[in-house]
Amino acid sequence: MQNIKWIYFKELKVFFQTFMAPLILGGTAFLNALFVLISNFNERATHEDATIITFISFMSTIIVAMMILSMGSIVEEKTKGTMELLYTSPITDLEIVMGKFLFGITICLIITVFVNGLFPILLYTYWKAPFYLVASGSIGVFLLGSFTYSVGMFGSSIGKNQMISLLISVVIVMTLWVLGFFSHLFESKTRSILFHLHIFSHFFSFSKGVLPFKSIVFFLSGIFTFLFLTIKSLESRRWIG
Amino acid sequence: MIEVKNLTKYYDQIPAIRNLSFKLQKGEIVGLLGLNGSGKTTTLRILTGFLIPSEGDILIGNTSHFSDPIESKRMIGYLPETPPLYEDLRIEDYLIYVAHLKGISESEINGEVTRVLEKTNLLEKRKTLIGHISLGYRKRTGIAQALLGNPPIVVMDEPISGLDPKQILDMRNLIKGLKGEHTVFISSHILSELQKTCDRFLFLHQGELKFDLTREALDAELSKFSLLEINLEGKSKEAISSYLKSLDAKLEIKSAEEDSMGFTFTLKSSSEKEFRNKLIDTLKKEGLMLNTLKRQEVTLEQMFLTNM
Repeated sequence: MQNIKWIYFKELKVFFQTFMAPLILGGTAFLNALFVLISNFNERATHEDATIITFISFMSTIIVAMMILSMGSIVEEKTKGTMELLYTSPITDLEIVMGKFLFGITICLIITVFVNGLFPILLYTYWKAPFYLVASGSIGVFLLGSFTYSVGMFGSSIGKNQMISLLISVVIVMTLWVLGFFSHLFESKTRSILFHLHIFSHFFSFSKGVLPFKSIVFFLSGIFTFLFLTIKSLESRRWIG
Repeated sequence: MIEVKNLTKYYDQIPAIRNLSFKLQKGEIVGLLGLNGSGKTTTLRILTGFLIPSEGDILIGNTSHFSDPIESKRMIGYLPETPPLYEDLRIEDYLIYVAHLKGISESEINGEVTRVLEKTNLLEKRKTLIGHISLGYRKRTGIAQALLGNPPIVVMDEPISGLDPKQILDMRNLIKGLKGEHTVFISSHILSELQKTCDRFLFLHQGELKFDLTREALDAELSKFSLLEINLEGKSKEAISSYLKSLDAKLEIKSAEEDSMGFTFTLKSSSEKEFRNKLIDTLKKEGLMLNTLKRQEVTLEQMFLTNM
């Protein structure tokens, strides 16, 4: 399990040494600012509305940031030939995936606390944003970001290049959204199952100051499922070649 | 030390290698030769644990490579054809990272990294970003990572491809320096290059092992169909041709071309040594001047086309 630590540190080192850190962190801050300005600077917004709308903006930016961050996580290793190093080193596929996932959720946490955090602080200071909304919204952003990163890693493990990997993860997230969005067209049983897969509806609860157990389980089980699929995808590469 | 038993690998339904069996002894340098697509890389990838074979087994010592892959991988250092490098890391940081992955203890890492940097002449470049170094240095960095932890087995896939003559010379010396201490298994499609470094040669053709030859056996095999190249001046082409034929009744003249120095003949002699001696003894008497006499380099293509 020591190897998880080394892979994690290597990923962090490369991230902060290259253009990726300003791109992801700066880009997220910029998009956040843009969305928050557009959404909030009108006279009708109450403090509560402003906070909710702010966190709904964060929902979009964390998805974009995590998809960009994760799209090369595994496929880059394949295209640059470094997968051969990982596959032929005395480490397991689980360690590879976990090292990279821990890196992803660390960046997600940095965005949630230090990038997104700036806005709730401002909101809290000047607009008196309710703290419970800020706290639950931040937990929601972190869970959604981690879930998106695990989807992105799976896309990256089966894609041939970064663009295809990105498309795969976009399709998965969109499918989960669309299935939920059109769930009302189905019978009650199917409707409830499809609606449960609606990732955004799960997030909305967090942005409204609720910490629903069902949604926490949804995100955690989603993360587990996609990490499991990523490991299986890596294992299958050894057979397929 | 390593025993490969009936190794077979299919990609979809197509076999890349079939029933491959051979042994590698401790401390020897063995070359794996074959044309492109003959299954060299697949063999090395299975040996290093990158791929799992469809059938067969590999024994390292007495243990199956696939029953305890983590432990087996500790015994193998691998340089793929494209060195597996992270462009955004410095050479030293990269080697420290690989050393960690190989499970080298924290107290030994600095000493081990310095050792491989010295062995590959990279000490001066240790702080350079990998993205900024030439292919020669990349290959060296690749070898340095393969040597980390002093593994008893070192596997290299086309280590000289893409290198300039100076770098080839350096690489050759580096590989020779591994002899005795490590079992080295190198793949290449350039026969002449491996002839200079290896003790034994395995020839793959269409995924099957065609020959397993020692250096002496390979030399004998090559002399069977190697050609002599000779450049003579002083007489006409026809006159020189009939003179050459008079030295060896079974002589075959494959080509004769005029150039700035005289005439270059490509010959196949039934007894090369005898022919050469007669030639040297009688040249002066015939009024001919010898400009060049050499054995043409046999390429892998020629060898395969003649033997397959």
